[in-house]
Amino acid sequence: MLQAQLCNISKRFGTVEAVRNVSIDIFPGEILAIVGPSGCGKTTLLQIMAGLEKLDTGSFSVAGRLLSVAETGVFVPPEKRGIAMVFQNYALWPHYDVFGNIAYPLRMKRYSRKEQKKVVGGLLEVVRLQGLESRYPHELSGGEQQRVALARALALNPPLLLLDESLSNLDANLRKEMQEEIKRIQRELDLTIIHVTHDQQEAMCISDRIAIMNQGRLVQVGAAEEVYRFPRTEFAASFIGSSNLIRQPKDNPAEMNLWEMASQRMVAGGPEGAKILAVRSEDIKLNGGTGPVTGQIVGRSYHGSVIDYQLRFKDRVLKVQTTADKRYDPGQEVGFTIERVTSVCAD
Amino acid sequence: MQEPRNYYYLLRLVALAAVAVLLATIIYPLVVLILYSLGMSFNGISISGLAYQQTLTDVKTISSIYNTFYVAGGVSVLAIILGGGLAWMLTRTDLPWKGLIRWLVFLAFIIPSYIMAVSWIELLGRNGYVNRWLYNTWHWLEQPIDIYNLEGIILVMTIHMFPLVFLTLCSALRMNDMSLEKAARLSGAGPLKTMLTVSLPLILPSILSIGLLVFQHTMACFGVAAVIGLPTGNYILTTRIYSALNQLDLPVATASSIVLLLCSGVVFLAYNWSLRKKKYINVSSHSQPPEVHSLGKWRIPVVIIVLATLSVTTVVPLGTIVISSFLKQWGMDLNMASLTLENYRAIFANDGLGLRAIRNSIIFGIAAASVASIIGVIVAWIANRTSVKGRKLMEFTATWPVAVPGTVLAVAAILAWINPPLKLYGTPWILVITYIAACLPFAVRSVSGPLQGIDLSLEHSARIAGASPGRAFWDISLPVITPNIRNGWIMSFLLVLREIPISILLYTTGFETIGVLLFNMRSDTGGLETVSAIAVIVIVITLIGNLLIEKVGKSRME
Repeated sequence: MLQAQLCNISKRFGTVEAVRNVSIDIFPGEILAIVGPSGCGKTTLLQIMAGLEKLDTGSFSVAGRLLSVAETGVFVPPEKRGIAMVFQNYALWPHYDVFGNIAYPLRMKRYSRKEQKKVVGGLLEVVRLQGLESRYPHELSGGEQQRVALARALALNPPLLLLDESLSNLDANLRKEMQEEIKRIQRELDLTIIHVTHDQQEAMCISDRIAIMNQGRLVQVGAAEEVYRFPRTEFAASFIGSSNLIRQPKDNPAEMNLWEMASQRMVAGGPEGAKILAVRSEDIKLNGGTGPVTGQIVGRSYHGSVIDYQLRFKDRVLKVQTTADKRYDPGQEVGFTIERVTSVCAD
Repeated sequence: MQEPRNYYYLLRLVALAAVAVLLATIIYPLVVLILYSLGMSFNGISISGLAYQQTLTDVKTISSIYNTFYVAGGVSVLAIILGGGLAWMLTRTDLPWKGLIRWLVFLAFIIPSYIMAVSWIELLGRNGYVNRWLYNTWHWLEQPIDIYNLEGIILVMTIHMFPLVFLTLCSALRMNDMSLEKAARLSGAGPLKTMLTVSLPLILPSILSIGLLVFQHTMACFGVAAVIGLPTGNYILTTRIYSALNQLDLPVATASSIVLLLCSGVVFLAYNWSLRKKKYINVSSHSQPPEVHSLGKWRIPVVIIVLATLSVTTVVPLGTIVISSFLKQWGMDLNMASLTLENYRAIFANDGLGLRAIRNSIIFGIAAASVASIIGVIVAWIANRTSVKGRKLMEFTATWPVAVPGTVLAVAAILAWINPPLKLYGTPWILVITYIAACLPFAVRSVSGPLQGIDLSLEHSARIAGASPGRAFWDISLPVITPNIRNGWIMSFLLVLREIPISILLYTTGFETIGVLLFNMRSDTGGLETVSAIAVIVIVITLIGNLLIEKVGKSRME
C-alpha cells in the first residue's frame, strides 16, 4: 500500500515548464527528500501536493484518496486535504501566541477548548517546548519557531507532512539538531514526510530515500547510498557529492589517458551503454611521487578531517579528496590512481 | 487556487457592494461632470458648447489659471528650499535639539491650512496684531504689511506644505547609501564635488516627486485661497469655481472644474511616474548610517535661526489662535481683563450652531471614515488576494479622488445629484457620499501596501490547517493589518473634520459642519474670536488623532 502517489504530474507557468511528467511513489513511514537546485520545480511540486497550485496533467493521491486529477478536474482545496506543511519561513501567525498557532487547525475542526489544551500539551511535549504556550512568535528563537511550526503541522495527525526548505533558515549547528529532532519525531509518530531542500548533505542524512530533480524533471529516486554510489546521470553525479566527469575522448590527450585509466576500474550497476564516466573525488588516490601516472597539485583547501586538492593532469584539473594526514604542497608532482568508476547518462 | 462554491457567492456579494459604493461615490459623479462639460444633456441640465469658449476667454478665469500656477509653483519651490534645507540639517549635521525641531515641524504639519491662514490674518490682517503694533509703536502708515494677495497665499501654503517635504526628504536622505558618497571621496572627489555629483543626483528624484505632490496639493487648496484671496479679488481656480457657483454660473464652474481636474490630473500622473522612476535607483538595505558634518562654531547660530524660523511659522500663529480664542472681542488689547472663556461656552451652549456643527462633523466623519475603511479593505483584498477580473482597475479607481481637488468633487456631486430621480442635493447624504469619495484613497492605500507585505505563506498555512480562503483572510491577514485600517480610519476622520470646500458647496441649513462654521463665521463681523475657539478645538482633536496613529513597524511581521 502506498501512502501517497504522484503520477505523471506536469505544471507550466506561461512558457516555463516548472514540472515535467514527474511520478513518485511514497511509502508509509518514510522520509523522502526532494533535492535539486533552485528553480528545479521541487517547490512547485510541493505546492501541487498541498493544493496551493493546480496541476496541468497527471494526478496526486494520498492513502488512496485522489486529491488532484487533471483529466477529471478533481481538486480538493488545501483545507480539505488534511496534509500538513511546514513553510520555509515557518509562517507563524504574529498575532497568535504559541498555543493559538498550534491550536488553530484544531479550532478549524471545532475541537472543544479542553480537547485543544490536551492535544497542544501533547504536541508541545513532542517538540519539547513545554511552558512556552503564551509566548508570541517574535519572542522565540529560530529553532523554537521551527518547533512551533512543526507542532502546528502535526496537530491533526496528517497522513503526509510536507517540509518546504524548513531547515535552511537555521544556522549550521541548529540545523543538525533539528534534523535529528525531525527523525526522532518521525519515528515516534510513524510519520510520512516529504522534505524539499536544495542541500544535498541534509537530504542524505535525514531521508530514507532521495529524489533528485533538475529542470522540472525527476532525475533519480533511491536510497541515499544508492544515489551516491550509482548516480544515474551527469547531473546526479555532480549535484550529490563531487565527481570528476570523463567524456569519451575525441582527440584530447588528457581525456584519452583518463578514459583508459578509468574504464579499467568501472563497476557494474551503472546504466548500459553510457558515454560518460564519473569518478568521485575520494576515489582518486594520491601516492607521493611514485606511480606510472603523475599530476601536479595546483590547489589545496583544508576541511578538518579531509583535504580537497586540485590536481592538474595535462590540460585537465581533477578534484581529489584525501584524508587529512596526506599533505602535499601546491606545485608538487604526485602519482595518482583511479579506484572506482561508474558510468552515467548524459543529461 | 481552487475555492469552494459558497466562497464564490460571498466573494461576489462583497465585490458587488464595493463596486456599488465606488460607482455611487466616484465613478458616477465624475462621469456626469465630464459628460456635462462635453455639452451633453444629462439629468435635465445641459451646458452649451460655448461654455469652454466663454470660460477660456473670461479674463477672470484666465488670470485664475495663471494665478494657480504662480501660487503652486511658488509654494513648491519655497517648500522644497525650507523643508529640504531643514531635512539636510537634521540628517547630515550635528545640529543640536533635533527632537524639539522635529516636534515643531510636526506641529506645523497637523495645523489645518485654513486655520493657519486665519491665524496669519489675525497677525498680518488690516487690524492684525503686527500691523497695529507697527502703527501704534512706530507710527508707520496704516497697514504697512498686506497679506491679502497671492504672496499671502504662498506664504501660508508654504508653511503648511514644508513639513511634508521635510518628512519625505528626511527619509530619502537617510536611505541614501553612505558607501556611495564614501566611494566618491575615495575616487578623489572633494566634499562639494561629491555632493554635486553623487548625493544630489541621488536625491533629486525624491525632490522632484515631492515637489510635484506639493504642486498638486496647492492647486487643490481652497480654504486658504478663499480667506486670503477672495476679499481682494485674487482668484485661483478653486476660488474661481466657488465664486462662479455663488453667481449660479454652472457652465463656467463646470468648465473651470474640468480645467482644474486636467491640470491636477496631469501633475498627479507625473508624480506617480516619478515615484516609479525612483524605485529604479533605490539603494540597498545594507546601507550605512549617514555621515554627519560638523557645523563647528556655526552650531549655535544655525540652531537659533532654525528655531526662530519655526517659531515664526508655527508657534506664533498657533499662539495667536489660542490667545484670540480667549479674547472677549477680537481687536482688544491683551491684558487679563479682556480674557474670557465665553467663546468656548458659546460654542458648547445647547442648540447653538457651534455644538451642532461639531456634532454633525463628527457623525459625518465617523460615517464616511467607516464606510471608506470597510470598502478600502474589500477593495484591497479583492485586488491582492483574489483572481477577479478587473481587480487592479477597481483598486485604481478607488484611489482616483486623491488627484481630484475637493472643489471639483463638490461640483461633480452637485451636477450628479441635483435633479430627480437622483436628487440628493439639499440632503446630508450628498455630503456623506462625497466625503466617502474623498476618504477612499487614504483607506485603500493604508491597507493595500501592508496587505501586499504580508507573506502569502501566512494565509496558505491557515488554508492547510483547514481554513477556507475567507476564513484565512479573516483570521490571519485582517488582524495583522488592523493597525493600518485604524490609521486609515483616523486619517479619513480628520480629513472630514477639517474639510472646507466640499462642506461649503454641499451643506444645507441644519447640517452645517465645522468647515462651514469656520468659513462662514470669518465673514461675519466679530467672528474671529469664535473661529479661533473652534480652530483650537479642531487642532486639539487633530493632535489627539495624530498621536493615536501608530507607527506600524515591520517588527511584528518578522
